[in-house]
Amino acid sequence: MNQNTVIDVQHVTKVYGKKTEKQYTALKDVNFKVRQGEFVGIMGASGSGKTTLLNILATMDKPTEGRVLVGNQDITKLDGNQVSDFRAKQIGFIFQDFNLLESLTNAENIGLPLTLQGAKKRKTNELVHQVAGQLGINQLLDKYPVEISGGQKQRVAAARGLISRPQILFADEPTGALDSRNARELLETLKQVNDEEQVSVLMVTHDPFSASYCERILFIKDGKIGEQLEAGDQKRSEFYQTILNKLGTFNDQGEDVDVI
Amino acid sequence: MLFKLAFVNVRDRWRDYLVLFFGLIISAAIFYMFEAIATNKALIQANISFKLAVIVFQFGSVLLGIITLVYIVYANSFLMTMREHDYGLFMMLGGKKSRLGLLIFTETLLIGLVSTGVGVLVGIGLTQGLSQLLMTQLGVQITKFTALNNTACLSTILFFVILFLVASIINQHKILHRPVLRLLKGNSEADKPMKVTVWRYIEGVIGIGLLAVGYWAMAKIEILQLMAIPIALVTIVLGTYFLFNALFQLLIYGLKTTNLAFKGLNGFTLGQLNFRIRDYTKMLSVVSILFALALGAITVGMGYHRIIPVMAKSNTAYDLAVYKQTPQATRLVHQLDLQEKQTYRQKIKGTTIYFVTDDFQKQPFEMAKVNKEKVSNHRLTLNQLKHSGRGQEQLLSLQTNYYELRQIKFVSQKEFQTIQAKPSKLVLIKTTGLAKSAKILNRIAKNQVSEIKNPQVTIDSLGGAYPIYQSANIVFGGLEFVGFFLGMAFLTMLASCLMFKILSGAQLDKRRYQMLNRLGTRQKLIRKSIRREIGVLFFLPGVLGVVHVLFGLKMFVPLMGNPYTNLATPFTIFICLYLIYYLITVLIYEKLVVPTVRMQF
Ligand SMILES: Nc1ncnc2c1ncn2[C@@H]1O[C@H](COP(=O)(O)OP(=O)(O)OP(=O)(O)O)[C@@H](O)[C@H]1O
Ligand SMILES: [Mg+2]
Repeated sequence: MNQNTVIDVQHVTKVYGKKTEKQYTALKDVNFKVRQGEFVGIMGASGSGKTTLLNILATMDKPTEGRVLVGNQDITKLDGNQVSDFRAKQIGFIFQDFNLLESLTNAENIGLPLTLQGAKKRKTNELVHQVAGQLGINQLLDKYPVEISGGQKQRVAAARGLISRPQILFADEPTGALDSRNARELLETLKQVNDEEQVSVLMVTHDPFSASYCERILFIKDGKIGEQLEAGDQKRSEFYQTILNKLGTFNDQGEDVDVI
Repeated sequence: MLFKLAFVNVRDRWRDYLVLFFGLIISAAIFYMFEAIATNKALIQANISFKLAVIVFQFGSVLLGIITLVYIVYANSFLMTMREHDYGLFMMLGGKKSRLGLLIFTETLLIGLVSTGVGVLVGIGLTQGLSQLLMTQLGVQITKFTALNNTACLSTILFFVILFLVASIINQHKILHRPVLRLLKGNSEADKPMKVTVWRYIEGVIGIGLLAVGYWAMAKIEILQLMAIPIALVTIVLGTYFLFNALFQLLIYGLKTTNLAFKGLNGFTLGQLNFRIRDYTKMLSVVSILFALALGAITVGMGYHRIIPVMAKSNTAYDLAVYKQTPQATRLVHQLDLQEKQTYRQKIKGTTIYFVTDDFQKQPFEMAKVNKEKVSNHRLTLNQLKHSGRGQEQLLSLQTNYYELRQIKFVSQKEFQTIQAKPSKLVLIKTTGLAKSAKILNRIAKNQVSEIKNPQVTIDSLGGAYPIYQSANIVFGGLEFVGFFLGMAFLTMLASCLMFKILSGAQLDKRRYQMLNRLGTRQKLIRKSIRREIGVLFFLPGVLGVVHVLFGLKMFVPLMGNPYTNLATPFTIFICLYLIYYLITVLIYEKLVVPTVRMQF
């Protein structure tokens, strides 16, 4: 395996439904790799299997067949505490609907992964301030999630995803619930962290604008990876145009890609 | 920090928990009260018959304990569904299962400790406040009754902590064995509207069949003995569930196809109910079983109290026999509201007791007869008495040394004087009511016992109905007390189940009602729809609960004769309380969901 590869997805297939019931194949023989520090986007029509794929990569779900290597470990075979450690130390996750706990302050929310691992309070505080500083949300730390805007919530969620300095950050439509200004700010932040920390980002999105922040985009169709787009040397605005054109060709072919 | 997490969770959701807490607190309080009474030294020492009442109170505690366990498990499953998402998130963020287990454990135990602590405090107040009532009920006087009782505190706390330990283990098991995604997304499947299939009808038939078996088992308790109870319990619980599952859906389905569904908001209300059916059937079954237990406990408790005078007066027409005509006794008898007073001269020689014929001609003896649970008294002429074995038996049994005597002889005054024995006077008194004369009768009885100066003679060995009344009163009065408070505890638990279920759906419903409001529906109509929806949810388990009780009372036929007389009082009390819970639920729910009424929570 290449030194630089963080995720190696091999022949992953996912079938929903028990043998006795009606079955649905959501992923069919999916193969791809993600390099260290890469910002990868996943696009596709609704129901094409994006969330399913992300959930498998983040150990929230198990594939029916195939394996996913992170480092040299097959993460689909992890059990009990290994899964917990993997989630706590190697990956971060950002949800579309933030998933912050209303009863905790933002600082406590950000520190939650460490708390759950049993880290010391002082150490947790230190790391919370560090990551908050990086994301520019220091002034929000003492507030509660209900007291801040959607965009701010997503930054807090991102800080929570990054606090344990993971190798990989997963994001399932992180801008889905944000307006364009907040979306842009969040993406800038993700890009910045991606550059500074060499953390790989894997982001599911419907939105070509969000996708234009990626270095590479995988298009998934009916559970299979179809085409890929590389940003290469293009500027972001150029890449955005390329993505739009690409989606346009899908539409011309009668594809059902919903563009926001 | 982990502890803080648990604490913050409980603190922040206390409004949600409050309704459930209420059920737990009342249960713990009543449990404490039963224990405090059962283990009260002053009470036990004051009265020998009280030993029997102790059993009644302990039995009440056990019954309450079992139901509370069911309630706690059920309440906890509610709490857990509210917490599922958070726990899923914890897992997603890398929380270890052992840590999560500890968190669930801490939270459950924290809820348990808080509610038990408050419950014991309430229980002490309750015991203090009600002890006087209980003493009157039991007809005992105690000056140094203390509500604060260490044994009771300890056993209540210990018992509830164990219950919560069990609950927390169940919680852990449930949460930790569910996939993360299921936890995060919640159990949205339960909210799919149900389809009516043939299976529904089959379920309905099975349900009715099971209920029939259960009812039959309760009616045949004399044949089945103790087996009747487990059989009835299992079949009735399952039967109730199946019946609700089928009936509820068929009912809504049926109503939806009628014209009624198109009037006003009826269609919306039916849709609401249909939407949550699957969620509701389990809860409705639990509620109707609790309803039956609560109403049953109150009815049976009151029923027992009702039969005390019947029991006491079934073997004698007189309330008390007075043997020593001391000045004090005479004065006390004078204070009584007398219906009858007969004075017979008597002499006892060997195993024979001699009476004077004259006395019985002038003052005919009264005999008690029981016919279909009604006690009637009959005056017997001397001739009738001479030929009535039952009458003579009753006359004999008025003596303190009743078991040593073999026969009665009626003799003329002359003959009487020739008999070589000490003459004495037997004064038989009958008051206008045992209950209201009980206090004075007690003093007379005590006076007699002290005058007779025989260590073998206690109040219980005196003739008349009062001694029986007194000991029956302690046991059955205890039963009534226990029954009433068990009923209250069950009622609060069932009401909090119902209220909680309904109120926890309020957040979701809010959106629907807001939408209705935007569509221009009048508030009056919305309120009406709410009252109907909640009304159905209260009404159905109530009706089935009443049916359960009516059949369940059959179990008490061997013990109480006819348990069906005087059902009106307990039923009225109970239904009124149930209605109050309904109104409170409607009120809170309306505050939560009806738009434009702004409530900051
Ligand atoms: N738990 C499940 N059981 C059965 N089928 C499922 C389940 N979850 C998803 N599916 C199906 O698998 C397919 C892929 O779903 P997935 O959620 O991955 O789509 P998606 O690409 O994320 O769509 P969207 O853009 O709408 O979020 C869909 O057809 C969906 O119906
Ligand atoms: Mg998705």
